[in-house]
Amino acid sequence: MTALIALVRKQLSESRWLLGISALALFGLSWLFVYASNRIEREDRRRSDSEFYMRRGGIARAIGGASADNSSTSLEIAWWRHPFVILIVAMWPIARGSASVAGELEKGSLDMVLSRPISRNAFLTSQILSACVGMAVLSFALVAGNQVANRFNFIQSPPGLMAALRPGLNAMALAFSMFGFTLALSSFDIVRWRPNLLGSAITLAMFIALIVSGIPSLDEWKWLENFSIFKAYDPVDAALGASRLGSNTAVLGGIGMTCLLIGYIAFNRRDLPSSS
Amino acid sequence: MISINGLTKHYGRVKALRNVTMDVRKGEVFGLLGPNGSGKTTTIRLLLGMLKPTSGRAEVAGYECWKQSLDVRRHVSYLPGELRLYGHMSGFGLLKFLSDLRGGAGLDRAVAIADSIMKLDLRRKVRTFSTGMKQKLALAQAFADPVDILILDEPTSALDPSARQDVLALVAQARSAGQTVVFSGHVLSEVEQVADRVAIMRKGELMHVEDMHARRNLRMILLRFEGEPPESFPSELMLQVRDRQGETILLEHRGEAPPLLQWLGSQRVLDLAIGTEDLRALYDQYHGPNVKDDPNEATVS
Repeated sequence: MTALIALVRKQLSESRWLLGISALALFGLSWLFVYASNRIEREDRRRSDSEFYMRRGGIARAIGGASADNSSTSLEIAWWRHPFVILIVAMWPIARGSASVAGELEKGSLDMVLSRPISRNAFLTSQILSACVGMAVLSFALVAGNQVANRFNFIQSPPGLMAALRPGLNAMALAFSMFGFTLALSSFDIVRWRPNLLGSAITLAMFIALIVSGIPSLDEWKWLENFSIFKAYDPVDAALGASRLGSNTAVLGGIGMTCLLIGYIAFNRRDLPSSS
Repeated sequence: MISINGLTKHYGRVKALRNVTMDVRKGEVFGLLGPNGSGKTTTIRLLLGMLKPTSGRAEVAGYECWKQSLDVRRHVSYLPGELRLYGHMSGFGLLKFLSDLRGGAGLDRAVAIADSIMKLDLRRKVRTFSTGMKQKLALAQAFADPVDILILDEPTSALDPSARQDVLALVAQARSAGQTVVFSGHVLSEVEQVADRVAIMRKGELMHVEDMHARRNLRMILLRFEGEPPESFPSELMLQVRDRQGETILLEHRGEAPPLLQWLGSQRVLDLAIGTEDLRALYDQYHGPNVKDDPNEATVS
């Protein structure tokens, strides 16, 4: 247990800047989204009630997808699907996933660690634990930014803590699936840039797949969404009624777990050559 | 303590290690010699379970190195040849981290070695250490680990001369404490100084294992006779002919000195020179400039 804790602490310590800056950026973005929602509502208050709700709902659906309704919660949480949020949420799991095996192997630091009585399973578990801690921190930063900003910006009916925590969980599950496939790639490799590049490319391709499948004039490409993990990222649904939160979390968690299992098998069977 | 039997490792078509068989006895310092690419590091990584053998078997402290590598590593402390440490940690932080990976064992001793012998400022970040200082830090941890076996891959490569002597003293100390040390390196004089036995490797093959105690008793005797030298020598003198040119003969002697001196007194010797032969001469038989690509069969003495 001492060894596992030491490894988790080491991994968090060496990536503390990435985690800290990402968390700060998400906190700031989340705050900014509340401020933007406040501005939209303030402007719309001059209109009639029906116009107000229609416009707010339209903006929420354009950003947050079909689950969005005309509520303030919808408008605020819809922003969590903004590409900036996705980009920052994706950076941590891809960076940690690629660093887990290939990164340590490339640096040569794996030799020092795995020459001690640490099993490969324990080493990989520590990587997963530290990545999960980071994902929780990032999700919490999103939630905290939203909740704190709501105290300083007037919103008609802002989301409560639980309503904000649920999409936070959805974002964490999304990050977990990204971490899973990047770690699986990393478990086969000896250089970090390759799983980094592949993990980023896969993420980007799946994001593009979701966008293309959502364009109304490209109905024949609708099937593409089935190949995108972002289909299971629906923060607005999670915040409003969470009708699909369970299944979305199961899909994202399942993808992540399957990939981690592949990572464990590959890492246990492979050679660990010297870094030179 | 370490037993290697027919160990072979291929990386695709590259044969990194070919059918190596050797053993390391409990409490001895065993030197592994050979140029880069000779298979020393591959052998060590196979022993630590970092590589899966293509064929053959290696055991450390009775544990099979691939399948029971965790048990092996409980008994072994290792200093990698390509040393990479975590730069963001302080010297003390790194020692504590490495000690925690062994359940917290050996930290006090590691700090004592780093502080008093290696003269390191453990409050400094590792990234500010020179290469030699990093090596000293890792050595402090390796020598502090409460284990039976130390595997040191080129432990003195980045050290200054006085630190090298400190390391050799620590190796001798480890042997006195009953630890087994496997020591790979390029500096023959250092290996010669501390090793009980030496293995010479070449292109993934074990070429020769030399008992260094026997070698330290080896005398090279150059004799010039009045007339033809004798064809044979009394067997109890343990003399072997290395070279013969006219009236001059070069002999290798591994026995006691008094019977030899007595025998020499009875011969018609015009001139003689007695010297020793260092490890370089043996090493050059396998890696010298005159060695062809297809070397001799492996030998053990």
